[in-house]
Amino acid sequence: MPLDPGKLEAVLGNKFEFKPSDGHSDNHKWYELQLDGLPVIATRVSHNKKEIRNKLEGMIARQLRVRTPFFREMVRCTKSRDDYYEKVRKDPFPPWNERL
Amino acid sequence: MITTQAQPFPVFQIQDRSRTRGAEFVVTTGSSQYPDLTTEFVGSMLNVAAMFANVSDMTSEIPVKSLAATFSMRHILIGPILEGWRIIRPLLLTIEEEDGSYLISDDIFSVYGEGVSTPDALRDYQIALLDYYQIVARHAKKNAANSNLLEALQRYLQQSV
Repeated sequence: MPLDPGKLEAVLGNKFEFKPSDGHSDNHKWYELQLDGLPVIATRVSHNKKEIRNKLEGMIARQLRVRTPFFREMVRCTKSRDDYYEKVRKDPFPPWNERL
Repeated sequence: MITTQAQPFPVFQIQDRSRTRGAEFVVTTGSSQYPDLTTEFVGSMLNVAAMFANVSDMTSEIPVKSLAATFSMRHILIGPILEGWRIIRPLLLTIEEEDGSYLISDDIFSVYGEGVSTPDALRDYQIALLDYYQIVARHAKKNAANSNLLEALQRYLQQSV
């Protein structure tokens, strides 16, 4: 089921404590989260879309360092903030050092 | 074949001819627009392409056998981009289409851009990459993980003098 960008932004900000960040695109907004000892987690959400479809959803999940099913649970609120923070610390996807 | 209609940036075109000429694969550079690209440089591009495609013996004279058709949806980004920045190391991008819009992303930094055409999406990708760089740079002094990430970005992205 396609994801509503507005809901995603609300969930990122309110539940997972991502902070909005400046960017150079009028059509997108960045959200960032800094957890101790980890690289900053940053994701980009489109403003001019009515819905986020599968491929873009997968890309946002990747930016959040989780697999798509986990990401969907984050948005559906079956994964808590603590679940997410533990996930990106212990089992990030893709792993932090991959390809760097 | 993926083409870029408006070409303010030097994008390598990766052409999959497998449908018309068997398993053939061609990389071109648009050298008339970017005459400073040397043969050796093009060769290095091909090596990068080979690495990502799991092909061991690419040369500047293709054909190459056994390439996945999906590889035709890849671009290698190199050279000047937006706002006085340049890509100094080949950056492999994946192009995907969904419901009439295009999504371009990389596998290294997980940055994406989107648009109604591939040039639009490519420009949006470049904007996103610069935004991402600036976010990481702001956090670089906070911990070693961010400074390492910034160093990784700087291996690909550099401000033009």
